[in-house]
Amino acid sequence: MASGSPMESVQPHLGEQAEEPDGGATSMHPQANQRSPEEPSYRDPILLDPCQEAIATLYSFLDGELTSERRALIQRHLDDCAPCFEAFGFEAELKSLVARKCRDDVPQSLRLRVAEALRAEARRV
Amino acid sequence: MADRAHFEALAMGYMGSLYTAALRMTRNPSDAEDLVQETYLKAYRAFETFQEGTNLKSWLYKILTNSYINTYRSKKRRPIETDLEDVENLYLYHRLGGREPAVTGRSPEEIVLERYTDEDVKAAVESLPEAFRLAVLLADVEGFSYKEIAEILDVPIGTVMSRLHRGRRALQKALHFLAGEPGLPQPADMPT
Repeated sequence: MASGSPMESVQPHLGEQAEEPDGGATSMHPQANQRSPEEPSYRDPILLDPCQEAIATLYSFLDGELTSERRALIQRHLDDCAPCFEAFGFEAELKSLVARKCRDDVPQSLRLRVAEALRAEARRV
Repeated sequence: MADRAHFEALAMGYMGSLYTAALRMTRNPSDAEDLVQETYLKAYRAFETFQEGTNLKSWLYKILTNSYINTYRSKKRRPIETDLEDVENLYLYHRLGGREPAVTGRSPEEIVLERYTDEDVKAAVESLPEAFRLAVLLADVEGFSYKEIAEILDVPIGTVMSRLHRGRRALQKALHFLAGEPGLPQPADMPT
């Protein structure tokens, strides 16, 4: 079972994001990430741009399927990058929308039918 | 034969989610009811092979999925669909952006998203080709892990990820085209 709500770790930072001077950027672009070159960078040699890497791992992140180390790297990028943070928030909302809006009530007739079929099966043997 | 009362106590609580999944699979209430009944009968007959303490929900879903694939899909006499147009990342996000002023704590895109009705979302999920629909259902509606989905569908985890991720992107396009942009005033409603 996938663990927890994917937004739990993202949501608390909303307030901090709003106060950043460059927090209003709306498009996905590498310049949005202002990490200094001294900081350790992502290890994947193919995806050097942290925004691209974050978007590439978006679904695995939201599904709770990343290792804790990799998850922490992505989370740190989201704390720094308003456009990626917003995009992740949207995708988390969409995932939860699908979960909430795809439910159907079981007809009472089906409950009765299944119970009757199981009784008949138990008698048969 | 397993103790019926014991089986019912453990398994009947999953009928809601099994029926929901069956509806999305068959896209037909009558077939969905038959599929759920068949699943419970098969599960009851095989219950002695179920190891208590392991994941019953996942076990029931495997029976449901196998029954669907063997019974309902074979009716259509065609192989499982694995073709799907590639849709870019963040398809819907980029198309719903910048419509309205933000309200505290929620982006305008998230507010627009909330206007999709249950019928919109169900229709979009049901429009997906089968392989992708099953992956999206199991992950997003039922909350199974990649490993559990791999076991239920009997495919490698890499295949689960590929179908799920592509299926979700295709779902965004389906939401965009099937339902349009929810809640936007139509030209006829605009003040003249």
